[in-house]
Amino acid sequence: MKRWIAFWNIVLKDMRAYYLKPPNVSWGLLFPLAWAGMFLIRSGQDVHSLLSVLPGMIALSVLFGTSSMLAVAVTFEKKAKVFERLLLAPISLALLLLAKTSGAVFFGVFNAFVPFRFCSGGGSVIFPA
Amino acid sequence: MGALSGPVRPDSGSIAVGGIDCSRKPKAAQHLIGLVPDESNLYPELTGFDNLCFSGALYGMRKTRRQHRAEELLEQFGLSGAAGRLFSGYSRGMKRRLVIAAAIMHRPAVLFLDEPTSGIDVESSRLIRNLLSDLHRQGTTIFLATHYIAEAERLCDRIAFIAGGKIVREDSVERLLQPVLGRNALSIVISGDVSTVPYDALRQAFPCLSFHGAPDGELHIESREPIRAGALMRFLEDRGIEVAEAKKKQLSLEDVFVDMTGIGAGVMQKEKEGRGRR
Repeated sequence: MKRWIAFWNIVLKDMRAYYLKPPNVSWGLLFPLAWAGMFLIRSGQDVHSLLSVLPGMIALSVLFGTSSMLAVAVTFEKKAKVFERLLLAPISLALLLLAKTSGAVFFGVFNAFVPFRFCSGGGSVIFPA
Repeated sequence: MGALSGPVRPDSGSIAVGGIDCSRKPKAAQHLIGLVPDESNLYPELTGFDNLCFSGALYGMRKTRRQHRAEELLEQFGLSGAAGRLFSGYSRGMKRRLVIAAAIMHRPAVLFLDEPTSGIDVESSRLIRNLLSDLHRQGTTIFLATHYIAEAERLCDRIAFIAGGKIVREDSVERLLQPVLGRNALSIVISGDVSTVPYDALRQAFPCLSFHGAPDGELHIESREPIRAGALMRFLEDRGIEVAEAKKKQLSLEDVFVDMTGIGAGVMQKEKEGRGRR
């Protein structure tokens, strides 16, 4: 139980300190939106035609959303010497890595909702047929 | 310090904290340990209160318990007014206090501190020294690494002198102070070159005193007998040596350290700064 309190608080702290900062939120919205817009312009059809490429766009959003921020968060913490604090905590390295990556995965999944919402009708507002 | 707290593996030997081998079971030992490194290790983007709560959470403390403990520590460390401010906006002394508070959130049995009062304001250092004394009285074992020998003398029960990476002597403060107890010392500042002092004549005239000239122009005199400063100064002035200042000196642990190792604490500080830059 105790270790999961640590796990959950590391995830929450990462979300508050890094992922939910305004520049990251706007990047998380704009990046998948740019992908969706790019495919839509290329296809020359309406928003519903994007359904065929939706799995790919979701995968790209998760991949870029997860990996880009995680690398920044860990290197930043190492540079600021705060990562040492986590290493000194009585939690296993595996759980620490799981906590650090979980925050990034949540952010990546949040990114994936943008193309999903775009294809389920939100895109028609931005790009009317 | 790194080996004691877990992240660094010792080259040889073993380390146990509370009977737990730190090399074999570092995570079990870390429950008993609080560490205050020489640099701040808290999150600049979190408030003082959130930093403390997060530190408690790392040790599995539940929400209400850690919030209560954080408030208690902020009060104790004089930081209640700054609890809601970001850590990045704290002064150096406030940061140091919060780092110590974070290290004792989970009430560790052993607290390791690396230079806790280095480079901070007088008020914060006094507060930290008083808090460390209180913690010690409450039963926490405190392991303090410092270049301020006077601070170690005031706070510690046992002291280990380290020179060139090796422990040269480890003992209680009383026993370490034994060589300087009952010794009187006088420091005389000479106007001019200290090398012109007639040491042989001085030793002949005052056989129970010992004389050491320092390159900074000071003449250090020590004796087991009371030193008659007037006679000494008259002797020097009769030989054309002008005395600018004479002050009685209380011999301390720093003198013991210098006698034992032959190096001053200032040299040790420079050595450490050099290692930090590399």
